[in-house]
Amino acid sequence: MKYDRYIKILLFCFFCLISLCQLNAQPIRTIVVVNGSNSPITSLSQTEFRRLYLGVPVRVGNQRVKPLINYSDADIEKLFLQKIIFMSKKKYEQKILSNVYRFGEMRPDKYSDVDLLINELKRSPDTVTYLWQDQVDKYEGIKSIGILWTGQTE
Amino acid sequence: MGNKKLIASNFYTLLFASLFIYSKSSYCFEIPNGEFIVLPYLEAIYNTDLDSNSNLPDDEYLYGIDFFSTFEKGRFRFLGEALVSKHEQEIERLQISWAIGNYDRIWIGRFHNPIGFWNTLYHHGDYFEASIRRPAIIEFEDEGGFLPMHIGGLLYEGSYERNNSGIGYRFALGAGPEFEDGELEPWDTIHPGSGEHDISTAFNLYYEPVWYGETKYGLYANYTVIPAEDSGHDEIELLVSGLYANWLSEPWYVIGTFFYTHTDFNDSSDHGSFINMYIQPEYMVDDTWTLYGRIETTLSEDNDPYLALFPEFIEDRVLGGIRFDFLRQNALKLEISGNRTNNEDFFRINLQWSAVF
Repeated sequence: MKYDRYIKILLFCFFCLISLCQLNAQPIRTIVVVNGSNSPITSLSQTEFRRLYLGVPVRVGNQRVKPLINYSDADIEKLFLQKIIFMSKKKYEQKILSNVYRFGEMRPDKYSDVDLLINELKRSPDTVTYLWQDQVDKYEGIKSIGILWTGQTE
Repeated sequence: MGNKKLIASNFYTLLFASLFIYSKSSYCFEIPNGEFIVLPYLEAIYNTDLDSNSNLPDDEYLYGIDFFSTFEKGRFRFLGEALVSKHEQEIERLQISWAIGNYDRIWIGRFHNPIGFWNTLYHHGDYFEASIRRPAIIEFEDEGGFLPMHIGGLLYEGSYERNNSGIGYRFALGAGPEFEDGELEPWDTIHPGSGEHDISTAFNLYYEPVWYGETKYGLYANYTVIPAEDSGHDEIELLVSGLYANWLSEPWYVIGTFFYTHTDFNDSSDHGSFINMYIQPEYMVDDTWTLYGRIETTLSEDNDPYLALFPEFIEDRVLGGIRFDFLRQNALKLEISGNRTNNEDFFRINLQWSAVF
């Protein structure tokens, strides 16, 4: 019977070790707000960013800021909806469609190809989107103007 | 057409529409700087316990398509909505606007009267409403409604933020409806000189605990002079005012409005006033199922001379319903209600399919 205690301790240590390995397996990643290097927009808080994607008009000077939705990566799509918008994809799409119908607002353009998304950011200085921090470092002609989320992806 | 053929044709239309929708990977037609949306619906209505001399049919089948488009360039915006249905073809909204500052906008054209909140929340889009039908007090003019739901003229709307909360406002001034052939006839954008129309003016002021959030608490008033020679009167002055609340705390959503209505008939000493209110709680079980109910009631309505012009107005109603969302942006709704007009009590069952393309 006295071995039971040692077995329990060993099992506990084993599961702790497994959990630690799991934690270490997931790198910490950061989602940032991004626009073109030539854009006059230099900062956007998380609150402003969320409002922008929910249809609240945001203007810089005389120019209205246009949000672009990044659906190029399943993880970033999931985190954008869960951690920033706080809605399911279905509810979010209904919400922005309802804004079109109520106020005549435009829905944000959606991109499933990150290269096309980056090209649009470079081409239109009034647009913003969200990317992984390491993607921003990889591409030229874009800049990060704020942090949206930092953590481990599941 | 016999009922069986009508039901079969409705079924096949629903089936083909659903297959078409299922085959599409994306919805709505995106045009450069604009959007084009199509909202179709099919509906079956069954009335039971009708009086033998009732004007209401035992069953009725309705269908229609609402076309909506918007276009934006800089601060300019265009918005149009047309409804083609079994009973009517009408341009419901036709507006152009200019943005003033960041959050204000001035509109000109025909728009929905900012009376309460429902009328400017759902417009003619059955798909966006949890329920099949609007409360009777805010029914559209051509469906027996007796309040002006459309105005042709100017609308100023906007909001400002204060500590993350918002104060919103809407002011409207323009031409209201006339009373003709037993119903209100709003100003017509296609024939702007037709009919006889007088002033309609409204304001709506609301507080949002979270700016641009769904929860709103507001008050409103609307004054309209209705030319009404068809009713045997010269003009009717109509004043409607009240309070509303629109509260969202998922999975619950509640919308309710209080109306105080006063009318004066200009060519006589006739006048009247009554109170109406409705409340509609909704419970979102998940992304697919929604349960909802609604209570509508009217007080002090006996012998009201204005209500007497609209004998089919449902003064009291208790309603329960279920909504099923399927495929992408398709909804099936089933409602059962107990209704009371000035003349009769009856039960109604509604079944509706609606969607957004």
